[in-house]
Amino acid sequence: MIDPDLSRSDSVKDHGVQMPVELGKESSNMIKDLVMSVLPDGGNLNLCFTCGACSSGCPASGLAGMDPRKFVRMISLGLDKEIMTSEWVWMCTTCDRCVHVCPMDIDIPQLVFIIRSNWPEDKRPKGIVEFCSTALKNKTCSPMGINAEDWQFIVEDVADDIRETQQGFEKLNVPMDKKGAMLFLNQNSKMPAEAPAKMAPLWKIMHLAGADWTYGSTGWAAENYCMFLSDTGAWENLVRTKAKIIEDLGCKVLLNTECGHDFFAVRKGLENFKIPHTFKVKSIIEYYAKWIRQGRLKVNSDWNLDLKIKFTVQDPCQLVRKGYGDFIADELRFVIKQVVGEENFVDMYPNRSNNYCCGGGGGAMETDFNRERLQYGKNKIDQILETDATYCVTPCNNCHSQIRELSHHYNVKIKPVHLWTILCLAMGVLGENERECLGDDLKRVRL
Amino acid sequence: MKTFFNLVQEVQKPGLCYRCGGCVTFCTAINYGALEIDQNGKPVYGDIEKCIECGLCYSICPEIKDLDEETKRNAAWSEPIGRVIETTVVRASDSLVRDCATDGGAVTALLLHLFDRNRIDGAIVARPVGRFQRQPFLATTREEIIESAGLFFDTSHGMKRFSDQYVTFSTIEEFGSVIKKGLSRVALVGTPCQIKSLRKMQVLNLIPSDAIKVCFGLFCSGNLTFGVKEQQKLADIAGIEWDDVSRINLRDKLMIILKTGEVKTIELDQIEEIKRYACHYCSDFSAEFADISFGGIGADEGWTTVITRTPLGRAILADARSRRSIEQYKIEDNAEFASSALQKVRRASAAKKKKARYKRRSLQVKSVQVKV
Repeated sequence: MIDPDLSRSDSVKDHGVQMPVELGKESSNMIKDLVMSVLPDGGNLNLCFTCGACSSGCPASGLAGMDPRKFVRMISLGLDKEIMTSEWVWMCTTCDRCVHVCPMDIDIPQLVFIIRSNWPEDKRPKGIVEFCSTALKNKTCSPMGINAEDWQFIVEDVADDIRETQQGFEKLNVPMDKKGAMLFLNQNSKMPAEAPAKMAPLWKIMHLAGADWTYGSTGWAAENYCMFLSDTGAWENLVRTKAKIIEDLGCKVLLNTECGHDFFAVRKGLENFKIPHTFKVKSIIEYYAKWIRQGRLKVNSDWNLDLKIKFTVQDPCQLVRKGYGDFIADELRFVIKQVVGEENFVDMYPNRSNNYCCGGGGGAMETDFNRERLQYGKNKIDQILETDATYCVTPCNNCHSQIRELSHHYNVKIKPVHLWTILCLAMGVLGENERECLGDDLKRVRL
Repeated sequence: MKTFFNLVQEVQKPGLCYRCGGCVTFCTAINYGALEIDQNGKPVYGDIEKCIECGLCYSICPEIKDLDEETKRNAAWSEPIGRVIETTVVRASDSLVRDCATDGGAVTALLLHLFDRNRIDGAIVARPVGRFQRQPFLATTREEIIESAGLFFDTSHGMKRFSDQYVTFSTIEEFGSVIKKGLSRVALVGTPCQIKSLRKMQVLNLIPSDAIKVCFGLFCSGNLTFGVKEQQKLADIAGIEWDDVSRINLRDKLMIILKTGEVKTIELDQIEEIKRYACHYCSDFSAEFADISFGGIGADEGWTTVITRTPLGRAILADARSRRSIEQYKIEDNAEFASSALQKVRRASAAKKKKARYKRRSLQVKSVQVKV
């Protein structure tokens, strides 16, 4: 089933992991000094035990002949030239799994961040560079370059369509720039750009929950590729644009849609750049759970009582390990169990804060290292196959795209699915044209 | 402090003792030895001098409400029929197991599965000692579990207790030998009242309940008594000679299978009279505190309805399914096999609860109206 050419042992040969690292004459400590001067406690570099806990749990170990432990050792040993030419820093998804298990708290993704920021400009992955610069050109912050007028038009167009064609949603309202709304919802810009109808399920959920929410005509895009590029100034710029509109509208909460990295980018950005703000940053998953508990979203799992279709979940690193930790992972499981039935939810192992990254994070989707990215994800596919689940809930767009691609590449029958899709399915409001990512088994359920 | 004396006053005298044997089990296990079971299956003082009035027998009685809240919390109990993780319909994959059990043989298959996987050292079950008699028994080998299957699981609608004068109590009393044999991982197969008594012991962490690692509960619409009088009554209703009876099964109806192979059915309403008295007051049909509950109701002939209620129960079922110890009913044969089974269990449960409520109302002391 799995392409043998992509198995790990082959990759080891290809990428030459077994080649010894030679200490050349040109060793310099430029990077080490830099790292030690910018990171708190000097990045703890000198504390490394070389225990290898980081590498053993890193899906990127072995890619480009590198692994996290080797990376730290090479920086410590002053192998600047080798480090500055290893493309591994762009294959790493900065998922933080290595820090999570490091007994000495060495922040390896932070090292990657610093190296990325010192990378020659003309050699940075073009996809990420492009997305960052496009986002900066527009007040919407959209890396797809959707401007405010287009955005408003698309939203109204889709909303009109729902009001006209879908029963029960004749009065669906998609507020834009509504002053004083409690929740400011952001939106990944691939959807309005490529498949606008996919935004509908979330709107229906907001409608049914009776949420006091709004989109903004600016600052709505839930992406921050500048962070992936380690362009600190640009990262800050995007966060400031977003913070401004939320403050201007007087919203209390930035409600982060089913997306991982912007949740981290905004939270961390507000903190790092000391941007004054009065709103809180929350994940929509927390709200799904709250609305279900309050009975505002009337979901049940009866549709799956006989079908017994199995679901697992991919914990987005940026949301769980790098965000709210196990709390949000548990809320996520609560919601999934409510909609698919507790019996039909199977966890991967390891999971929650200890979960492995799927390989779609850190900007990896926009680099040219596709072969490496797919190999990175082999681990994830194996993990999902172990659960026997047909569907993998992916409350993050990058996880969603990556797992869809992995499934196709390794020729397995695993389908990634957004949480809003199965939420709407469980409430009986998922339209026929909103089932694109579902298999035949769910095409007609509760239609 | 309330003691066994109060159990007699509050539970036995009004006729509410299910004879699950929980009180005697504990008293014996801890070696107080004040209580025993009399020849009718009723817990009584064996040696009142030995009673230290600890009051634990009172607390763990399924009829006493003292520990209800804790028991419910531990089981994450919820309305209306307790926690339900999964409802499904299964049967033993091994046709040999199916042959000695009328329904799907799921209990036997899962016990064997746990045994073969070295998860349990023994199981408290009941083995046949006569055509309609059974005796509590601690099975510690594969063979003994299969031996216990037949008649016992035949009747998987709940009333496992077909016997002449032998009554429900003593499955739990068999705990005593758990301790003597030094077993620490035992499965208990029991009726709802027995499971509830055990769960109460577990709330208080009393021996020997710590040795019970998994509880298999049986759907139960009440225990029947099979004395000579009752046999005659059943024979009259069915219009048969009792001696021609080969075996009995209870699903939606009481089924009497004759030696000729002919099957006579009797509506449940008609056998109310031979139901054990206390069972009329019980409101637990589906073994709401078990790890897994089993019964024939809701399943086709030859299959067992199974409800998993705890993560442990779910894990056991999933493991048994993936290792093919049991097989699941195919959705192609009935698109609503699980939901309709659950619905039937809910209905049967609601009916039992309603009857119990009604019966209990008649127990309340009523004021006398005096006409002037």
